[in-house]
Amino acid sequence: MRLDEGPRGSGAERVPTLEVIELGIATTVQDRGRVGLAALGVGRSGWVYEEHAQAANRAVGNSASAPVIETVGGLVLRANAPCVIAATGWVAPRAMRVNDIVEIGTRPDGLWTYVAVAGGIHGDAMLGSLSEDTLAGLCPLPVVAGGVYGIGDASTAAAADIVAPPQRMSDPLHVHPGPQSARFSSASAQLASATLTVVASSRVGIRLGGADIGSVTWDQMPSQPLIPGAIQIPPDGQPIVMGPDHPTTGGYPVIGVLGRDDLSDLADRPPGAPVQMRPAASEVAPDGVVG
Amino acid sequence: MDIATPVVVPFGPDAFMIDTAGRRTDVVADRWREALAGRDMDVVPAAATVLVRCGYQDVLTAGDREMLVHLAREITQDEGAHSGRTVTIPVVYDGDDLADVARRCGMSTDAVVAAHISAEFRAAFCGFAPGFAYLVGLPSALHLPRRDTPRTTVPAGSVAIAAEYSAVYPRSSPGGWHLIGRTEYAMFDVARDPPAIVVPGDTVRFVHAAR
Repeated sequence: MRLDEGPRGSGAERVPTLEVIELGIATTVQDRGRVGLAALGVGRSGWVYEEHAQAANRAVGNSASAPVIETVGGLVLRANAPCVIAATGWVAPRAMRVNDIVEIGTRPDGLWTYVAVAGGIHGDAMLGSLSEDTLAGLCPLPVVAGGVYGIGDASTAAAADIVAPPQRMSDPLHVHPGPQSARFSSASAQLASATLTVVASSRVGIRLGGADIGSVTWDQMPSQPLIPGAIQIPPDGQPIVMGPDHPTTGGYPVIGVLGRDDLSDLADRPPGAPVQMRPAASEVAPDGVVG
Repeated sequence: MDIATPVVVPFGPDAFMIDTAGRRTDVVADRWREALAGRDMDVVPAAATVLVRCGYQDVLTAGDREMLVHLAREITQDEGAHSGRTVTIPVVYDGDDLADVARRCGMSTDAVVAAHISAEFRAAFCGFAPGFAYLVGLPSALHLPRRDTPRTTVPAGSVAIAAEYSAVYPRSSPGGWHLIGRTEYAMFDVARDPPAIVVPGDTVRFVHAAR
């Protein structure tokens, strides 16, 4: 969309907008996602790294749940109105004037970058959220080169001090027991002894290599619900950790589950990064049979 | 005869799951959803298990967990949903796998279609894709394992069978089920409430589409 076209028009009722000039891989709009539709096959989606997304929002004075742009490959933005922008792992909030251009690069220390603009990104929610669910194909507000995106009124923004998100990358990650832990002989010991690496990472899940846990043949396992952090073992024995766009049910055994913070930590590691896992503390042992 | 007690299945710190020990999972899910009304939670039934996942603003207390187990335990094995609707889906039975299904089942294609049309299905749970309902009630004569090689693209509206299930692909996607027909019905539409035309607990019947 050219600058002299589009929703801004030439009239006096100029809607403040941001324009995406270029964009790298895995660039979407994300908020908290959709709660309450998983029984219909619609997962929650939402930001991969909640803590970072919320830090970006805080940095520009937004509510924690305001929609942000999530990216791996970075993007170049032009302000079509005065506004305040911040990105995690980047710089302090920047006041943008009309036609100012900002380039948000890839992070040297992690995968996912969050770009918040004061007042938030505006758009028509789909099923209660602006989040793009890459697996379900729900995309209320596609981020495309040349796209123009409505933003909040920047004049109301009171930029706060940037809150640098804590650097994690803190091995080991703690594995809680999962529904099929018992089917693998000493499953958590196998995970703990393996030298794992991130093979591929997306919003759907993180594929790990270096383990060979699947030396168990599976009879038809009934489909069970999934959540982010669930560690699935497909027949090839290489774990897949579910991300926010995971399928709502799945038929592969789940050997264990990562908590939210550990999942965020894992999801932020680039392909090739090492991963160590340990069983979570014993106070969260399985509940067992309820009499 | 007493039904077995539901079994709590570990699923990490932010979720709670039980194996229903034979109770209908959609019935357990309905009961749980009523009990958790107003809470920031997702209740997700699957084939034999039901899971509660906390939202950002909510946690399950020990009391909640006890209540959920108690509610599940009170449900009897043959208890059905109280509010299940019946959804009738018109189908053109010309799927690419229809002849193969007939051959593998030792039936004529007409017999396969007749068996599919005469069956009363129930949506047991959803998954795989938005609005993809796993329908139970497929006559055992039509039970086949999934295709050895999944298709990279199954057209939206494909009516399919695999194992003990039938389903309609709500949108184009990869898929390993046997395609026996197609429907024009929009199985999932974000503009509707609920967006899925078939929800767990619904009764589903297939009929010949008017040509």
